[in-house]
Amino acid sequence: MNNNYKTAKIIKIKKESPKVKTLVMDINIDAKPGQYIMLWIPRVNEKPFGVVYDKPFTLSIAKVGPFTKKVHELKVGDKVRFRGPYGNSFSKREGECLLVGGGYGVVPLYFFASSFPKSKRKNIILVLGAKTKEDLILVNDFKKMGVKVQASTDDGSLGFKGFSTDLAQKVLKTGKFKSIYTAGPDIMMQKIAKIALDNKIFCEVSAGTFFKCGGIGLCGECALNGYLVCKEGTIFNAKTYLGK
Amino acid sequence: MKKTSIDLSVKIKSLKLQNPTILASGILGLDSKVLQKIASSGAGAITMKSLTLEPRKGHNNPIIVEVTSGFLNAVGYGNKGIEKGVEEFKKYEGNTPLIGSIVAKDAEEFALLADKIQEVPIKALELALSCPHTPGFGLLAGQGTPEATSKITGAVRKKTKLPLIIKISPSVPGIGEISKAAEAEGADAINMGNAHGPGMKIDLETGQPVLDFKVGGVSGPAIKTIMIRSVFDIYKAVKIPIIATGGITYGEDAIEAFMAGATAVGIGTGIYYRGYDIFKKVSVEVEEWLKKHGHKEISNIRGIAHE
Repeated sequence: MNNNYKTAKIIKIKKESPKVKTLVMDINIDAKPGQYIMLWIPRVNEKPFGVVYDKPFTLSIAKVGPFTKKVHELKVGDKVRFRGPYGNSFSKREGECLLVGGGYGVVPLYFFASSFPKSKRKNIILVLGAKTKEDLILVNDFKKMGVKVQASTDDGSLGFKGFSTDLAQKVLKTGKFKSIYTAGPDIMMQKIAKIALDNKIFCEVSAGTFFKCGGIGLCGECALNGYLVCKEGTIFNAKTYLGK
Repeated sequence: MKKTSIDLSVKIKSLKLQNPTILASGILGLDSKVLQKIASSGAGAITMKSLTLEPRKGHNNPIIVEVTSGFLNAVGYGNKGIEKGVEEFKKYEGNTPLIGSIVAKDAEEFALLADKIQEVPIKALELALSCPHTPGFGLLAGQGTPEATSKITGAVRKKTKLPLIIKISPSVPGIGEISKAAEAEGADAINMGNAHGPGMKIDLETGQPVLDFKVGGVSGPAIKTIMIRSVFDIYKAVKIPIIATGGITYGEDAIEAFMAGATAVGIGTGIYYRGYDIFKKVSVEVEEWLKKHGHKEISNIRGIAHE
């Protein structure tokens, strides 16, 4: 049963930003880019997190509420329980590829970019937006991987001053992009999905929402345009995501 | 599907089903588009997730855990509440009959919700008196007795002419008496029933119950034998139709339920094992079984276990 809980021990913790910590575990899992796991802390809650990397199993988690606060209190050597991975994954297209990430939502795009052979990563441009430069995460990791990164910050503290969606539109004009993949806040992804449809570019969105049964697909809490995000997603093409 | 002379349709008063499979309440029924998808995958009818007077967050996660031959769940009636729920389900556009479902703290509140839910074009109304894991509702509000069943059924009966289904629990004594109480107050069908239990699963690594609510209702093949026996007992007690819910996964499970006395079957957890189109699959399997055994309609085998 894929729904059985498994144990992972934290072997490394890296602070990515004031809000985000990356936890590297002592195990490998078999996951595909775009998939997520359900992380369980008994008597607290259980929440979905996109897999940053599967070998070793790695998660990047932003502190946004009581559950993630508990996660941030975990130390090297602590064990966590999780089930999964769940969900579908991104589908690759040949040619130039634009990734648009928003804040800590960029996580699934990191795993996706890393799944391209090294020689193809030069065709990938990441537009990464955040409120301020401290909130931009994984920038060096993307660069090390061979992906070109263009940052935007709302306050102009790094890169383009303004929204990632505006920067993405500028970047789109500089090349012949065959595909766009986006992960981050809904308002950003909706805009990107519309831009992709207008420009007739293949586009996939990593939909994030509230999960209850998380991957089992029986509770229906995560319904989006008639689809279960936890089971039939979280990756949807732009049209389905926008409900068109 | 080839045209055959087998008739799979069943009736519960004015509720007419093309086939005897019904989406059980609580499974996927929060969103009208998802309901439409299940309807178009071949369900005879679909039941919305139960609505409460106020919006409810439900229990914290985990709300569900897989166990041997089934699931254990304690969702805690997470729903938008009657007002938003009515707005949502008004959007339902399928031809497949939609069954309304409400849960409430007492008879008065049930009556109030019964009024409101009829703003949705539902074809029948189900009252769940049987949730095993939500304080203030169902078993945890003492609704699993003949007295409470009688009071609640009577109060709602005054509010609607729609076929009225009372969903009871397999986990309380006197299910025959409870069913009789519902029938006496004008119920048109008994749904047997809710998840069994409560049960518990402890995670060995952490030594903690997995469900955040610690206990939950058992569903799936694990409870089928208890459901069959319960349907058998209720068939002896009442004349009104019985909907058999609990572990129906294959056509043969439905056949067994019909033999015990059921008119239709509810399917929930089975979706996990066989997908959205389980309704179609079960219907085809029922049809094939009937054909192979020389029956033209379900009523030929209904209750034969009692003969």
